[in-house]
Amino acid sequence: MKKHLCVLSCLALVLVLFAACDRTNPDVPYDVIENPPESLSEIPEAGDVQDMALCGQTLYLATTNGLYVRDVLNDTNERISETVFSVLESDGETIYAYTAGTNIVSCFVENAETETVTMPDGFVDERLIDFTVTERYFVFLTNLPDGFAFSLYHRDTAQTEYVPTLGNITEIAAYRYTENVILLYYSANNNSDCYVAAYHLDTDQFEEKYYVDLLNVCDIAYDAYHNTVFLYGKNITSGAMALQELLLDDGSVRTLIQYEMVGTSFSVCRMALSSNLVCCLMGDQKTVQIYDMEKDYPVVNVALTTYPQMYLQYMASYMQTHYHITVNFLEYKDDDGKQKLNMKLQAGDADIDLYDANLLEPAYYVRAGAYVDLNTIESLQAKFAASPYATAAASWNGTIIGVPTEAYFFDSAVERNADGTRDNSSVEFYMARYIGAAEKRYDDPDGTALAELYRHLAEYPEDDAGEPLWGEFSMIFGGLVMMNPNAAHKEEAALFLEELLCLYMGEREEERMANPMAAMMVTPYPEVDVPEDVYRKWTGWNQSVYTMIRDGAEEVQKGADAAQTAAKVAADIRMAVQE
Amino acid sequence: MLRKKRVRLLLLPSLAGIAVFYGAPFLVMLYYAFTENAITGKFVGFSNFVELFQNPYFRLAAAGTGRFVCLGVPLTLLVSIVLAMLTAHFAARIPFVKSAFFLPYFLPSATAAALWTAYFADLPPFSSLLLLYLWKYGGLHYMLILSAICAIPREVLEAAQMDGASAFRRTVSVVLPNCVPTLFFTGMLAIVNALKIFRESYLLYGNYPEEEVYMLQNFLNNHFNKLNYQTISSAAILFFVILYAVVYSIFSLEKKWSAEIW
Repeated sequence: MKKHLCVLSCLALVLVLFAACDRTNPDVPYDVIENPPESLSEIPEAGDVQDMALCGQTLYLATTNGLYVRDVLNDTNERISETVFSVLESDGETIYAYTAGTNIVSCFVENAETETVTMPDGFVDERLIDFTVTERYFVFLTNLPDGFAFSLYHRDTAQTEYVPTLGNITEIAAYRYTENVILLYYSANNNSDCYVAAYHLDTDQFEEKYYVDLLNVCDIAYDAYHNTVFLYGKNITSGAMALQELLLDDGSVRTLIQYEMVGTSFSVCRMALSSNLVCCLMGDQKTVQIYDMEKDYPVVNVALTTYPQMYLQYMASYMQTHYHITVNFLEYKDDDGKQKLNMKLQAGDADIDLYDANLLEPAYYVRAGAYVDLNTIESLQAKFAASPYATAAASWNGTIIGVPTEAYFFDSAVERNADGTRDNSSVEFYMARYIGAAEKRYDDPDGTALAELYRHLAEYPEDDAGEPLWGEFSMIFGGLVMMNPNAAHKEEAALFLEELLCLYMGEREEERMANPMAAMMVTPYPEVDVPEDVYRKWTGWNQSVYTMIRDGAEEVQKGADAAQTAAKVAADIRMAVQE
Repeated sequence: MLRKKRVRLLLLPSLAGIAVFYGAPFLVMLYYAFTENAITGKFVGFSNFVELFQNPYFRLAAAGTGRFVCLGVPLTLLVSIVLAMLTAHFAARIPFVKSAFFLPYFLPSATAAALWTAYFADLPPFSSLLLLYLWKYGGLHYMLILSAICAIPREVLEAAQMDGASAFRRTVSVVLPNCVPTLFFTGMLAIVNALKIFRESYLLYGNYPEEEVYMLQNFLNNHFNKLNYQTISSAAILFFVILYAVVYSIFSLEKKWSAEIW
């Protein structure tokens, strides 16, 4: 009996520990609000909306003409207070309203004012930025001359407290989190680094910190049910208003939807969240867009091993604007990330639709069959037929493995740098010519050509002079966007690839040039006659082999014998390619 | 009966863990080994195994691993037995002796590799790795054997001595037979540790080392990075079969010898 009790106690302890570690709030109700409208029109007599709060399907709007309630489903509205409130906050049941410069917080339940809380005179500075409510405090965030500070009002004891300024933080927004922890959004290092952090009011400590980027955030909200943070702000690249979701479990961020910017200022935009609805106030301070978490919006998930390059960012906003397809970037950085991506592809996971093979070794993905032959997609087949360059860059064994991106054409006969030097790209050419990574081919097993390359590099360490080795040649550099054979959103992914091809084929020049960043940083395919014997960098690319060759070249430059070093390195390359 | 049930009940979480974390992945591995690739899932019979045997680098890796295990394991056992015999009399009284041998085992692989790079960079890779293996894991093997020797009842040894047995005879006829179970266990551990030396090997020589230290783990690791899960799975299954055969043989031998001795 005692033993049973002991085992049961241990199990109970484990369960309690699990519950204590779980940051999500299982008690949060989640009544799905079905079929909400996509947007709400303005209330003509209401004036400009300054803040919003959502309780179920009731949207509270703090406007310049008073406080309005609006039923999201029935589109009815009613003014419940003439007071002009500057900030609203909801805890799911009660709405807390506050006007900057006053010392009164009004509480509303079911469209009626139930209580007012009066705080000491002068407690909150007029320079209020945001307001939030925790279990224990009313939290006011103000921008004082010497920095940002929290003014805390204890809801039970009516005691007040100031939390000192927060150092170099220049932008901040606070929202309800759990108990006395609030969420902050702030930027540091001259706004170059942006974070969402959990901040403990009792200990003045940051508990967790998440790096977020690519968005000028104007509002944040915490979704306790999913344990995610919603970020609403202006997309730096596209200029559209974007709603993003930060998953606190793994720190990943995905864009949910983008809305075309309305009005002139994004800083007045606000967001309110309740159950499955997220209401986004646009820059005109009148229109409200509604995002439904339960609805399947068309998406394309693109896996990356680095930050999203300009062409991807441009494509994301293009797809949103023209097709209302949201492009999510799933980042798999570093070696661990790459391994995770590989495993997901090999395990047949469907959540990755496309992957950018720019920093990967595409030949191995081809060998593993982790791609869709784009020739089998009718719309793309026609496009590739019209672009010999794209076809040459991406074909392998009669298939088209992906859409070439940032494809740079190198012709050793005509390539000249501005200063008269030339870039021979000898190492890359050696790899493209002698190595076929997908078919385990290595045509220089004894290192004869490699020794020649080493002698050349010993003479011209920068590889910018002398005649190209092994005669004239042309080669295509650049990355590839490939499709996961198990992609869940194949249609959307195909559309994305088609538009990407159009972009690079120069069919969207007017729109591309209208975007200053894309105009500068996205280069369409060059207009050249691609010879049949063109080499493609990706076919022989293997990062380890490249390092081996470079290390060997360094040794030869330091005085080692070229032939001996080449023979040794060739043996290693043989192993790396043919094992 | 009730006791049996209780034991089974207590074993359940562990068995569930084994089923989920070892059993299920093993089945997935079997699937991979007999398919063209994970995406098409086309059944290809034993062609992955045939391809594996035809791969000269697999043969090289298997030979390298076999050579290392065949040399390293007997060597570490021999050294550990000799050291344990020599120090058995005073090791129990001077704890530092045991700790001194055992300490390298706790050293992180990266530190051990850095140390080796600093002092043994000129040694041929195979010898260097073998030495590192002896140094790092020998202490653990020595400790186990020493404990077994110290556990032999003093009276047994004294009786042998009184019967006129020489030191050599006592070692061969009394000490070693008494240590048979421990020696088998240590032998198994030594095999496992010999396979674990890949961490240090990787840190010292990278993904593509000299052919003499190119081992199965190099082969598997490189193919993993190249998404070649079929090859890895086939190789892992072969590896499992061989290892299973070795372990089974060791157990059978131990059973037989123990029965003969006692």
